[in-house]
Amino acid sequence: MKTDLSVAIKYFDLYYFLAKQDLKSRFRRSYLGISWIVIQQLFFSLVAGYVWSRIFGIKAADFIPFLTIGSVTWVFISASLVEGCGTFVLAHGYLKQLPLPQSIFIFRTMITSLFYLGVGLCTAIGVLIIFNKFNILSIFYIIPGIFILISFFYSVSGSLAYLGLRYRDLQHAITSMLSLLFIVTPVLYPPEVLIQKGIGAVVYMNPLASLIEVIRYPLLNSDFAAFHHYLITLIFVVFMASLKLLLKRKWGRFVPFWA
Amino acid sequence: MNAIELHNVSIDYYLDNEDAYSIKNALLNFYVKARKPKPKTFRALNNLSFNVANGEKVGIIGLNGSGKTTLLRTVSGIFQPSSGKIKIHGVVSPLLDFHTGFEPNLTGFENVKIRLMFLGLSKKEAEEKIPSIVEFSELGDFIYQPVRTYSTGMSLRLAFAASTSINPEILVADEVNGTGDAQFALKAKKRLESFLSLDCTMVLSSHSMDLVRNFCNRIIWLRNGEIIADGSTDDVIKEYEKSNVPSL
Repeated sequence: MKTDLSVAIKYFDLYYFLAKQDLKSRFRRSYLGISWIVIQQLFFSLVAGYVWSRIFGIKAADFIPFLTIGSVTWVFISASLVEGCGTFVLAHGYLKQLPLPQSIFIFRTMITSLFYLGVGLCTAIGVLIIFNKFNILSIFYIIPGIFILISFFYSVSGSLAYLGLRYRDLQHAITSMLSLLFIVTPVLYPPEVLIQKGIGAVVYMNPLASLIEVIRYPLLNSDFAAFHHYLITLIFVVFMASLKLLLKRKWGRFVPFWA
Repeated sequence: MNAIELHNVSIDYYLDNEDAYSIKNALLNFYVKARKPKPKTFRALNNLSFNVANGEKVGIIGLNGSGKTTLLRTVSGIFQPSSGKIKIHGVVSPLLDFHTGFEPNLTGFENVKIRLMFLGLSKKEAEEKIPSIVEFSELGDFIYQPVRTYSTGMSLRLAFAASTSINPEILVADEVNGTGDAQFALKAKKRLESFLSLDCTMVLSSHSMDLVRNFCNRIIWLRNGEIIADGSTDDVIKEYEKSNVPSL
């Protein structure tokens, strides 16, 4: 862990530059450029938010901000799963040619996704303002959630970087699992719905549900989320970080051979 | 003081079939409790021990498949030995993909900047170097075009100019040579000569006996991952050339 922190500081210029190029080349040939992220986000939350608010019988003004924050967080989570698997696969050229710390490439993926998260959260705050739900104090209450979310990305995509390199079909497996995860995770609906229907276990056993809650609840209510959400996510992050450390120790030296 | 120390270093490549690298197979094997066949390995380097002193210029020679590139990747710190120990004192700048390694969708400018940063330069140092690289490679404004639009000659020239612009502490290079049309080749030869004459520790592999004769003061001759000879340039090259007389 300590060594990764020093890598993060020492090589900041390098992976920041790589991430910037990744983003640039993703939007290079599009006229709208980065505003695509905002448009996509707004389009989804306004249209889907309206439709589902009618289905659920909830007020659109309540539901649309709720859905926006949830889906922004979900995009970040799914990137950690899907892009995490490809981290070392995509960097194979560099891994074979240069004696660099492998974590550089984990931070590279992370910076790209953090950028999306930043833009997404700003859009979400915009939506909150439109529906007159924004309280400036809520910014303070999401700070712990943001920290947890970032360390989640680091530990999960870090572990998957090794696993996805070893098992090349893992990325496909995870991609096809994502839609199921999306359904069981309360992104589209409040977690209370499941708890009231007696299948609260799905919520409590699912760290992703808590992860969304530590971002969404503070933004909507200007207060910290329930304590157990922080606890569940922290335990999960510690578990994944240990897994990452284990994989690095066991498989690290094979990475240039496998890449 | 040694820059690189190898102690009984061996490198094994695992010869798995590609299918074994899937989660499906891993799970299947787990459930069927298939007895794992012992993984096949190929010993690319066998028990090598040698030191490279600071400032020494070592040439690695040998036929194709003798383990030159594996050895260079090992002394660069990219491959960790399967057994044995390696110590590297200093910063290695490996030029292993001398002619490749550009990202096609990025501009020449961005690619050069990435390459220089990977070779250990700071962002500022890299930016300062770029104008002279552009000038040498004669790319002009094309440097701001994506590399995928370049001709082979253009990207070779750019790669050459960028790679030879650094001032390394320990240089590890695989098959460096000049490139381009007659006029550029002359220019490249001069630049390569001054680059290889830099006052740094150097390990370079080559098939060109002229190159190693001119720039190395010690030669290591590899065959099948083992050292056949290690000594002064002239002696080893003489032996090597004697053994490789084509039998046609």
